Amino acid sequence: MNKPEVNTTRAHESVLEASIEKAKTRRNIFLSTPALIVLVLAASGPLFIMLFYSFLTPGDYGGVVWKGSIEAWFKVFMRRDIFEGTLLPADAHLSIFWRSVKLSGLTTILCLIFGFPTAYFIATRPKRQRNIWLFIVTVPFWTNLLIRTFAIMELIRNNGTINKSLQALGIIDEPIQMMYTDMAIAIGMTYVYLPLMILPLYASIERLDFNLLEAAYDLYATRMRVLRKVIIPLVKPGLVAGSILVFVPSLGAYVTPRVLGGGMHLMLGNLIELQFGQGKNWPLGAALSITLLAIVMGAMMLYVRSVNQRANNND
Amino acid sequence: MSNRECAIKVKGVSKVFGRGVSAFYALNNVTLDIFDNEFFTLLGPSGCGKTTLLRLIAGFDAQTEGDVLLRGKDISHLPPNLRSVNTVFQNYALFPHLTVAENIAFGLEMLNQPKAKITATVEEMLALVHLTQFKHRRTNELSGGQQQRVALARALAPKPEVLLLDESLSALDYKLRKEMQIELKRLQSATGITFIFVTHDQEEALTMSDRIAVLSNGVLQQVGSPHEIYNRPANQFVASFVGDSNVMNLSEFDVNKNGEDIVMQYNGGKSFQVNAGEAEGEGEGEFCVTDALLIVRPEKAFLTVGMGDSVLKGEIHDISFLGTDTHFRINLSTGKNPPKVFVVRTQNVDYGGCLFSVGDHVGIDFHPQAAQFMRERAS
Repeated sequence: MNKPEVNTTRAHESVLEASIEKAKTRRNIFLSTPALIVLVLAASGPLFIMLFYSFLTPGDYGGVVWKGSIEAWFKVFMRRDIFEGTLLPADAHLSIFWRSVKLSGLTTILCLIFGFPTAYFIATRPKRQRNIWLFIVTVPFWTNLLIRTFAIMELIRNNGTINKSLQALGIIDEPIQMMYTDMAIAIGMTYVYLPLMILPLYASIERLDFNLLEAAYDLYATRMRVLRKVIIPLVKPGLVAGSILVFVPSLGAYVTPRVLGGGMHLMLGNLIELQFGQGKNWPLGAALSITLLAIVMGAMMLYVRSVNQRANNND
Repeated sequence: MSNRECAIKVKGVSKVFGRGVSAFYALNNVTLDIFDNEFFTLLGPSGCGKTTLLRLIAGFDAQTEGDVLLRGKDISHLPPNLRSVNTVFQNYALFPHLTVAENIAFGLEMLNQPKAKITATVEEMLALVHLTQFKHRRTNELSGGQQQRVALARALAPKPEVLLLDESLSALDYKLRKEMQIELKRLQSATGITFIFVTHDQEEALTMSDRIAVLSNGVLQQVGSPHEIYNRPANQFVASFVGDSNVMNLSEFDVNKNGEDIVMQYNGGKSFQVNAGEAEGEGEGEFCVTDALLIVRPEKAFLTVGMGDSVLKGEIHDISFLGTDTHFRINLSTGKNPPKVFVVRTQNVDYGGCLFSVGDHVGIDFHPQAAQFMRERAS
């Protein structure tokens, strides 16, 4: 008598469990909808549209004509000589690529040079003070990017603050040309992206066990070697994160090079904008955007690989 | 002892934190000689200044006054990396990004020693601390005891003149701590390096040290061998911090001088005699009954059955069985409230049960030499 009863209860239980499991799954899908919308529609969707557009023909007044073409991709890398019709590399585009990579690299290095001591300073303050310093670091973020860029312009233009002060002090006679140079763009981008370097670096340094520095110092390391052999290896995650956070947006920067480079020193962001605006060549703009994406991904993969290799060598 | 060479000389060192009214003396005019090839322990409760002294010797902090000499050379103003002194930190402070072998090699690399020599020394150190099979492990894959040994090997590898150990065993469990105590002693005699060990654990200090310095509130209380510290404590602080003590005020006794001797009697009990010179102690001046204390270690007193002739009498209030020992807390029969408590410790050498039970009236006896006298207020 007892046995069948037990069996039926078990059967009931397993059916019940199965339905609970199903309900859980349903609920999970329902709850994860916002995440899925973001991932599929907002993140990867537009990218596929861009990729698709890059293989279409440009319309006369912007937009695209629904006709397949690889002309845009061809134009990214090559150009046809107007008179002889021979194929030449698209040196204008390539020089802009190179300038973008060069200036972003320079910006990253400048951010490291200024960001590391700042982050170290904040992380070594008493706990209560740290939040105040972090707050000060993030304040510029609340100001419009354009205004911040114009502020830099006010500082470095020919009759701006720096030149006028130097002239007043009699150090220089003629104003130093700082505006509309690559250096101006690098300085502007460093100013804009510095917090993105400081914050992850601060997070790493704050977690650093300062006993380790004392231990290294005790074991005959000079201050320079404590930095090289202990601090830098231990805060590397922060260094990597900060460098990526600065390098990637610098590569696609638009406002800063436009204002401080004065249209003379284009970067990739400006080139892309040009295609969608005045150039009225959407497929080329789309192809350039995808190229930018590829450069960023390539750079990041190289970086991650070199970091992993070094980690493996250590083992 | 005094003709031995000094490894570390601490001369009139004070360390003051803060200024003016809020100035705090972490160390107050401490003078110490630590001999070559010695296992020296700085003992004291937390906040007594022992770690501060260690950090001054290591060079992490600078003293406000006084000098620190290493083998006769003033090192007061040298940074830690220029002092031939290594530290084993309380939390080990092993480099998490390096392997065991790389951790041990760190100091040698910083001294720019040749590669072959470094490899040889690392192997030697690994063998010394029995960690050869772990040399390629990351330090976070090791147990607490193993990490402790890596920290030791790392600090010993550069063969420093002096090794500093900051509460190095306190993070280990009881069994491991016992093992490491023996291990440390072995390493000290194997390497011949002077060890300065900081601890708040009096048992640890007594077990391992050649000599002990007891510190309290930044002031040096006593320096001596474990035997001297335990059997001839310089003051009440040392007597109660190192080991347990029954402290009695001499004014509670009937004291009579009998020539060179002093005869004492407590509440009508058996009288006992001590030599006056002995009672005065070293340089304590006139023997003064009103502010002097009598101290008896619990294990030096014993119980007698019944209310017969004994120095003290009382009623057993509490018995705690501790495996090897039994502790009796006895309320002395003085008629006072709350009653004066006296602790007697006996070794459990017999096989049967306990002879005494709570509520028994017992006598307490001790040899006159077990009684130590000291002034109530030490300098």
